[in-house]
Amino acid sequence: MDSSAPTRARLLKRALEDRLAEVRGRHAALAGTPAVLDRSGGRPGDGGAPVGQSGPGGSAVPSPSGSAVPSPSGSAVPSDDPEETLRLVMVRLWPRARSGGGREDWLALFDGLRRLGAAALTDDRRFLDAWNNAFEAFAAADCPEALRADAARFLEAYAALLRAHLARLEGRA
Amino acid sequence: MKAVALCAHLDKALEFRRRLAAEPGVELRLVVCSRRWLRQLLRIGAGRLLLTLRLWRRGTLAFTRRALDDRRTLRRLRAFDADVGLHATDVIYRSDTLAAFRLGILNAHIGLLPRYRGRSVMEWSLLQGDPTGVTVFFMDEGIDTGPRIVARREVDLSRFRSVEAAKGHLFSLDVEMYVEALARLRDPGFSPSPNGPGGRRHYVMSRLFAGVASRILGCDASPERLD
Repeated sequence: MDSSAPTRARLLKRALEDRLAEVRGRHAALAGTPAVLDRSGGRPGDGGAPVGQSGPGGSAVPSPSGSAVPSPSGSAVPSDDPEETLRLVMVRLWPRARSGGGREDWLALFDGLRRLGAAALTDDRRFLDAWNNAFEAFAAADCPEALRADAARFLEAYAALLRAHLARLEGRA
Repeated sequence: MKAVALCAHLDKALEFRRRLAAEPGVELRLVVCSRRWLRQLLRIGAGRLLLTLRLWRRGTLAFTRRALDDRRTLRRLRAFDADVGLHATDVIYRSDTLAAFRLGILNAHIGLLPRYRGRSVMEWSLLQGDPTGVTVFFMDEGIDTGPRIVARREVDLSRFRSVEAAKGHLFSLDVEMYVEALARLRDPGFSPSPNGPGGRRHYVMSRLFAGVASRILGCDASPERLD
């Protein structure tokens, strides 16, 4: 086993690049949305503003407190503490959404993830992994028609996160 | 020292017996807590069936289909007047069950506390480039937050090529780690280490990161192979 930092960074980078391509594919499959993800650049790690920062050219990059990932009325995630939010997302919202959850369940999960936007940009990868888990559940589910626009925004925000992590890994791998 | 191994499987109970029966200063009892204990008994094989029945007749081994926090089960546990419980079930313990043992219930956690609490901790350790290992600590009602660490061992997993095999190895060390922990507890000069602050609760790892952890484990020392 070689668990040196450059090797780990290289493996992680490759995985995130593959995931970004997968997210782009999913996004393109949602009607009328392919241009949004392409706007921030064709290659991973070459631009694309991270969550919580202004996107170039007014791209649909979310802020941790706000916009691109939809928030249902009456949030299921009342806490401002990222640890508590992460717990709620992983213990309650993600399991509910992935086990046949309806639109409200998915919106609650997206809302929880939106609140983890800033934390997911940090080196504490548990927060990014909440997004990873949500994407994997989403990819395995049939996207309800009524969720398409919200899902597209979730994918945009997730792609922005992945690009931010890839940009950081560029110098390490 | 009186210890009670709380087991989900009869096999594990017999492993406890094999490893701890000859341990000086330890009086061991075994409790198999499973709705399917009878099925386990019937499938165990003739040789071990005789041993099981002998242990049962002596009162060393007990079976229960009821939950550990059921009042009848609790009454039986309290009657053992045990110092320590040894966790080998798949349940979360409530305070009444924890309090049925003078010192508490020990858990062999397959991560290094205090940092790695929760789920998928071996994979998280690999992903972060941190040492892997096992920690034995007294449980409380939280997720790996029990404040007293009794034994902690780093375990090199470099000879394993899959996450499943590596994790299986860490799990297989539980009885060995309990033996070590009980030896420490019998030492009058021993005091547990604090399960201090700085720990983080980890959650089920995504397939994406689990794949990276698996590849980290499977890598040899030539990063070029990764290109």
